[in-house]
Amino acid sequence: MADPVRARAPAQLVPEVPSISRARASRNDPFDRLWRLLSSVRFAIFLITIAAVGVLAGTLIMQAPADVAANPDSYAAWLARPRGKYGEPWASLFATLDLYRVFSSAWFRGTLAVLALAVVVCTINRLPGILASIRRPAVRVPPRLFDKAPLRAEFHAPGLAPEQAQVQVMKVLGAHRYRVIPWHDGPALAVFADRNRFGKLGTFLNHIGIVTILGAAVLGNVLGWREDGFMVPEGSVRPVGHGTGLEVRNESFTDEYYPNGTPKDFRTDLVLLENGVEVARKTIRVNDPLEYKGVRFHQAFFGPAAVIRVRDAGGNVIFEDGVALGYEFTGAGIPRNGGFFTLNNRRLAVYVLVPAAQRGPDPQIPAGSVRLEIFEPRQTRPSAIETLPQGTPREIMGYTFEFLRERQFSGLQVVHNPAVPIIWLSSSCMLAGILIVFYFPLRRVWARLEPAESGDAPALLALAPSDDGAPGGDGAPPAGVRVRLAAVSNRDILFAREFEALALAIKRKVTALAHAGGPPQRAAEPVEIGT
Amino acid sequence: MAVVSYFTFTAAFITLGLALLGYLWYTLGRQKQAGRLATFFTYSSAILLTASLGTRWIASGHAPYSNQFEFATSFAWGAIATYLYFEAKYRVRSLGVVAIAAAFALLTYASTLPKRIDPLIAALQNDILIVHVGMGVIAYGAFTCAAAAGVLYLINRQNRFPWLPPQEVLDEIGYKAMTIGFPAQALLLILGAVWANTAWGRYWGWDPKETAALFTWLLAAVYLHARAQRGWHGTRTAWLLIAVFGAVLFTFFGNYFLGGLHTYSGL
Repeated sequence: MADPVRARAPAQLVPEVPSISRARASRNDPFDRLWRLLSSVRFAIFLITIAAVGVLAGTLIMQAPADVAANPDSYAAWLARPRGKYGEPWASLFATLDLYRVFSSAWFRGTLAVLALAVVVCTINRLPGILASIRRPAVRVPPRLFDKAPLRAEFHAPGLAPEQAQVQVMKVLGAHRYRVIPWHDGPALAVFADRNRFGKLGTFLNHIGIVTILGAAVLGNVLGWREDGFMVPEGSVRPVGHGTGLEVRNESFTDEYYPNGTPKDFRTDLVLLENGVEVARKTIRVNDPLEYKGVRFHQAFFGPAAVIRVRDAGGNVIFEDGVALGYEFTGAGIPRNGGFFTLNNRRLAVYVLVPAAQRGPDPQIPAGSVRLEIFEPRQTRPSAIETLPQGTPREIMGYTFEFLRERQFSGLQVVHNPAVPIIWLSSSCMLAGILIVFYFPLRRVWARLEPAESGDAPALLALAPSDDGAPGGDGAPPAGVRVRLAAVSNRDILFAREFEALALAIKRKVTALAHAGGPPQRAAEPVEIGT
Repeated sequence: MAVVSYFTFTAAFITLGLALLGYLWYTLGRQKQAGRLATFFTYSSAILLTASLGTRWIASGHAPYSNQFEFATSFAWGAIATYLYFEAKYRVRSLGVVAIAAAFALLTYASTLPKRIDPLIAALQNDILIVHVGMGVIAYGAFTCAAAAGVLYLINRQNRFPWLPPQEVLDEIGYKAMTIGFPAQALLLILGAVWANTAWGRYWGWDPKETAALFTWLLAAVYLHARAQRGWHGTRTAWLLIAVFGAVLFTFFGNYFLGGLHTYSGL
């Protein structure tokens, strides 16, 4: 990928940065061809465009939730939804192109992977050359540059030696924060000046940042884990799992609203236990999670919970806990919220259902009651269904169930992602790279100071009218120095203006010296600025 | 304060309309004086709009980014501010015909939206909001100016209209606007990731609005690479500037149809 603000030097005048691909350009070696493809800007534009198209498709076309997309069975069942929305043949076409799960699709991830590879190849290709150009800048340029460069200026200072003019050129450029390197070219003297010579590294910083962001994303997926629907009813304790030995207790949950009904605040008083011992305690909010040993607990959502007590035939309490009613069920076509728990060493699964919020009365579940559906292993139909009013124990399948009270549950996201710091570091790299490329671009100015003998002073193409009067006039110009300046620009009008200002400043300095030095003379020739 | 905010908004809206008339007169009627008047009106409008947003900030106690009216106004403010920067830097008033027209359209749209001040909902109670959306204001404003330069570039083919800025200048304004918008959009995305990591437990979740913002950024990246590519620069990159602005509008109006976690902003 080329530097977006690469200087456009006229061919061959300013040494171009060498690259590996040019060094061994055997056209038919497949590896070389692949290498050239990956390092070409056009291919990069193509890849970014493909990625952009994927991103746009992912925005416009409905996307399957990540957990659904990851599971072939549930994804197949989910596909009925877009069929209803888009109709055929679009629905099938989108499915074939994997457009319902763009961001986990092979083609999208493949594009990002090839893009990352292209960035790496491009960096390997261009970095050595750029480093070499920083170590050994293009100080020596052929005199032709001063005839051909996109930005040029020249003037004649009579009565001065090239050495005197060179000092002034260096002073002015130095004052404008340029690094100046004097050199000589036969009878002529020259100055090379550059500013922001590390500017070209900005591209690499940016590109390396992008690649490491992608790498860190993959790393986070491999090393990290997350629980998106981690529901803890008030007063209940839930194990975090994933080998952490952590448990979460929800001490209390609070939600507050503004008078207009929008949420003002919701928060959970959370206690964290490690191997049964309290190790952390915090009131978490949406924007204020709890973090402990790399595991973060985020407040995400909330909902109702039912506290259920179960006794066995002997009257012993075998279960008493809150059940978060945080799932949606549509059994028998009636939308309901519910949750479940297991009994007797997972031999029974007990589903607790309530009418869905804001759905009006439920024909089977009166207000203040819960509906229990009890499943035995590998059964698709419940072995028992019972509606349980609050505070009224019922005997079902040899157990006594009681709906004690309503509570709220707090929905958490529990996240462990050790790669997140790399994301921030890479993002900073990426941003710093952009800023360097845009705001600290490499600037190079060349100056050539040619002794002008009486009679062979250069005939100036006096394009720019000047109050100083046209050069030449009657008689040969006096001996002096011909000051020529050149720079390459990348369609940068602001740099062209800066170059103009530099040229004028240099002219002013040099002519001032010419006046102070020899006998009083006419002002020097006007600066002629080429474009 | 809320009354002051409403009054200054209306004044800024009217003043910007006068500025737009001035730019039209300046460009199409080639009246130099009209240009100066237009610039004066634009500065006045910018000051009034700043006052309007400032007083609203004071009255509501939070940055003016929390609903569609507030963000549309801030977006217009960003477009006016970046336009004024480019007008001062490149002395190109005819850019205002397009850029100020876009800002005026945004204010017109904002004037149709409910203007009541709502308290900040739980999810938005984070100071990152100020910088995250602030970067959006800068980026969107810069992309508006870039697109305005792109439009004039396409109109002024082969510099056939001497009263429009030459294509080289327009091309550079487009690029310079991108050098503001592209990093601002990058920072918008990064701060969004930082915030999402705190609030939603993940730095990136392919939420429709963040995905649309990424799309905008990727298009801008295509523009930057295309501009550096020999032979692609010119008409093609001018269209890309307009496409980036299209993506901005898509993201901005996405609140109506995109859904996802950014939809709390309401209307």
